[in-house]
Amino acid sequence: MTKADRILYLITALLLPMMFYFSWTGDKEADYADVYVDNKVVRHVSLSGQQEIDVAGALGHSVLQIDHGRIRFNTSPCKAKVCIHRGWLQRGGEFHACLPNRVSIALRSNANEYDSINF
Amino acid sequence: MTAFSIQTTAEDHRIAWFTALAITIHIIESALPSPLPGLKPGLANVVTITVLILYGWKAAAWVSILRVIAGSLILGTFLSPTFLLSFSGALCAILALFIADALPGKGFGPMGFSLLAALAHMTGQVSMAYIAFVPHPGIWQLFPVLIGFAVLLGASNGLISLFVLKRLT
Repeated sequence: MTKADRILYLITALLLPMMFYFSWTGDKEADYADVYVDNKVVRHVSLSGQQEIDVAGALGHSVLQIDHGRIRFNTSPCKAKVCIHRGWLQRGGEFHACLPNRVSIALRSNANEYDSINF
Repeated sequence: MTAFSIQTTAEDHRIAWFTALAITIHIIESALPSPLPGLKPGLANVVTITVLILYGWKAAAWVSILRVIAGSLILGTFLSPTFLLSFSGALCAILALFIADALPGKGFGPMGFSLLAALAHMTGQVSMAYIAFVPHPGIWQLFPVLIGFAVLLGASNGLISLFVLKRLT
């Protein structure tokens, strides 16, 4: 290895962790949520503060609870209650759907944690 | 029918031989499975680096570009997305090698050239992917991982090139 080689390897060794740091950290908390019924946006809500939202779905009323930057299904007329067991959602790009009641929530932020999620 | 004869020089023949070697490696390597899209050992670049050290930048550029084009014709990926990624990567690598080669002083050895080429190749390739195929900023999240592999592969190719050169000279 020549001197120039060593310098190049040293610079690379220093820059690589920095690249990881800059692209993998940062504020990814969701700022607001889009609430869908039958794939149409019915509500566009901010996640700040505390709030309960009543959404009329296919089976009945789903109640969504917002609590300082996070959101969850609180009450649902569906049978399995998968939506409620999913718990709190708080990261940008997260998505959850209650299929029986056809209500879904998409969390948004300026920097989304996920591009897309598949089940 | 008119008969043509093309005047070839000794350098043309040398470039052709090295390109043939690089294409062979390129094709053997294409049969290897890859853990991540956009990632492969790039052993054909050992030839590029070796030629760069032995015969200069111009010969290396020819070997690299011809290898990508001819290799893609044989594999049937010519002008496909794979080819575009590979080609833009090769162009960036060759450009980086040109700059590194033109620098004053004692300059880089095979290890440095290989690392630099691998980094430039990956940068060019991901940029092309971003511009042409995946115009989503999410692709840059993958960039550090790919660059990390590029560093490892570039260094190991440089090492192989170093051994090859030791045997040749």
